[in-house]
Amino acid sequence: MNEETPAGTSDIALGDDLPSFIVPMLEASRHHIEKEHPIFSRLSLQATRIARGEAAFTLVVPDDFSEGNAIHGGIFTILLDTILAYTVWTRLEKFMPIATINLKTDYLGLAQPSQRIACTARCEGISDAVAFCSGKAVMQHTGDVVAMAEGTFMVGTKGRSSASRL
Amino acid sequence: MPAAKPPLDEHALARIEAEIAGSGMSRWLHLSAARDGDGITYRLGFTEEHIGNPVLRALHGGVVSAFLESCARLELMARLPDTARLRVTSVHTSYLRSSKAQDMFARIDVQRAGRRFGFLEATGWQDGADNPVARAAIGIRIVRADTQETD
Repeated sequence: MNEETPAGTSDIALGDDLPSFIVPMLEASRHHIEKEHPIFSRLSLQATRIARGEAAFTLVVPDDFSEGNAIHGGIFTILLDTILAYTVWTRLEKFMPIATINLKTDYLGLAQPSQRIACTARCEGISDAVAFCSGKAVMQHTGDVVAMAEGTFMVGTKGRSSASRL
Repeated sequence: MPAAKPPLDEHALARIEAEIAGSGMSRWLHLSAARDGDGITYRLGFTEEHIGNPVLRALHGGVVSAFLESCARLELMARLPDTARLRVTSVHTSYLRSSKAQDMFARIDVQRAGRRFGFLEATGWQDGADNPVARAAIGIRIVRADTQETD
């Protein structure tokens, strides 16, 4: 984790434990998440650390995803699904499409809009082509955890069902 | 003791529609609801922003989950008094088959609405209710204005 990274910086720490052949693919999908994806580009999403089996991003959720005075929890499901999936790729030896098998998200408390949030995730391991991941979202200025997620992903799916959930 | 599965009354749909209008997430999902026999069927109105992978053109897994969660919350809200405050605490979604770039529908089964907590199951489909795309178990904290939390 790299929580000292100042908000707004575009420098990211790419772990030196990443195999070089996977880096271009990780960078392409990071660019897609940060700049091109219609949801995430509205969240000022930025990678702060990417290493073997882990990833960290920061973001700010604008007011328009609120319900009452708090952020709708669904936004964390959308975010953590993507970031958990991203950590699967950091563990692969070559690019393979992946698909979410299941995802459990817990929302602890009321997450405030327009504040910086840090999301960290890990891929704990892959066995029999099933990847096991977990992650959480933390309000950066208070350190309060606002959401936690656990997910499993099928690695190396074929055809239409190869929905890598970018 | 509150009913384990409070019924939908004639105001349920109007309350759901008002709640949708007040929620940024529901508007973003293009969520709508319609009476369907003895229950309510919810609809996600597909837009390009809901795509997960632009090559495969499937719905984003998190979007599917957020949709099912929102429907569950609306269904429970419509079955409880106006004064009950709800907060979703847990959503566990299984992605049964790949989704397509099109509208999605959902029905909610209230398994138990207790004094302090509700347990619901959501089923989402695109091509017929007997071909579900995803199923979710949703837990919702209920804070009732009309009962004391002593238990």
